[in-house]
Amino acid sequence: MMTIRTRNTLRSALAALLLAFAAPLMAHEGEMGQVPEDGSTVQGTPEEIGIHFDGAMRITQFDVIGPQGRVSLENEPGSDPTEEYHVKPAGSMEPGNYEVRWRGLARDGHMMSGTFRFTVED
Amino acid sequence: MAWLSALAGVDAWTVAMMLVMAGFYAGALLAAGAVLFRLAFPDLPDPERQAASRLGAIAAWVAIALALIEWPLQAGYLGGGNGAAAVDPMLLGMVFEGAQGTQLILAVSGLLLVQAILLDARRLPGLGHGLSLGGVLLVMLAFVQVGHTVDEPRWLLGSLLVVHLLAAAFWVGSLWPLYRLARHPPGGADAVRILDRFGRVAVFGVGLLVLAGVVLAALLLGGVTPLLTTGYGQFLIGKVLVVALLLLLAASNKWRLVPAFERGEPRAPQRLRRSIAMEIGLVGLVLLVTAILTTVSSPANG
Repeated sequence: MMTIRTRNTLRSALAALLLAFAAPLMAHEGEMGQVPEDGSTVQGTPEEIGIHFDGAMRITQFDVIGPQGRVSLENEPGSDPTEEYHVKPAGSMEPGNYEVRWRGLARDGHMMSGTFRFTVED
Repeated sequence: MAWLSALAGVDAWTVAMMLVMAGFYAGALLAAGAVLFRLAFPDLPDPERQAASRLGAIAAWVAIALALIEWPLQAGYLGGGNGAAAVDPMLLGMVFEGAQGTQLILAVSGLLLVQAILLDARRLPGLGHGLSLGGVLLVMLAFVQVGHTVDEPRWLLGSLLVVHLLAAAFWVGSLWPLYRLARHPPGGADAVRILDRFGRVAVFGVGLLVLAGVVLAALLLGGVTPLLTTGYGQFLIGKVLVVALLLLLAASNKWRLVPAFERGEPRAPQRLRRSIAMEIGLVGLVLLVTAILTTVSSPANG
């Protein structure tokens, strides 16, 4: 027969185990893909650089950093909610490694950020 | 390790945002918890009742200040983590018009109402309790404005989170009054009565906390694999380990130290106080980990 102490200990252990799932969980729009794809290599200046999401996102920062520093961009769409965010490089891009850093506000109020990288070859 | 890579990209701005968020969680839960604790224990001895009210009111002001600081911090984060973005009217406006703005308004209004906890309950019976309880409900509503609770089924998810947070607030709000009660001489009638009853109420509260959390997780996570493979999951496991320690301390208080206190053992008050002080430290750690996991990671993308 189970003693009160054993039962209490088991109850505490069960409570601790169950609390494994008791934290607030945040579900929100996720990053679905990038152009150019993360880790890819492109020949010459890409026509467009961008990301897409599975829900509306307000992009507040979108920087492309390369060997010459920040790349000038045109057609920046602003921060209206969008599932597709694409920009065009203002000029030709030197060969080298590039990193895109973005931040945005998801529909549920979550602030999101991400980076992806690609390489430009001659 | 996914959690290390999640932390690798964290800049000083994000660290500041996490610390302020953790402080806001602590202040808001402490303020709400003080109201709930006073309602649950109307027979608290006067000094403890006043101390609980004072701490609740101070915690509410601290939480208000931190909520207001968080606003430009969030705008600054969206603009890339710099001071210019923090005062950019466009970014400040975007944050305020969105879910964070609603959260800010509800939290500040609720925390102002919580100040009614200081009203003299004997002269204005009901008014102080009513206003401060209204404040607690607004604070709880503030918490469900941002994050998963805006997804469907919103009412169910929001209600579960509110139950979860009310139980957490009650626990957090109980620690200081209980610490003070443990200063009473061992075997003292007031302290024994309240510590004993708290033990019974706490079992119910922890049950609600766990039940609401499990159902929420089942609805949102849909599996245990992300727990092991994502940064979010690994932070969550870290949090759970701290919470497990906290529960062990709470269990030891209920079944070992409080009975020793009731029997009048001379060293019991000191051991109980030490245990509650450790609980306070662990609660701080839990809130910090919560702020980290909700800021730098998510179940959606690790």
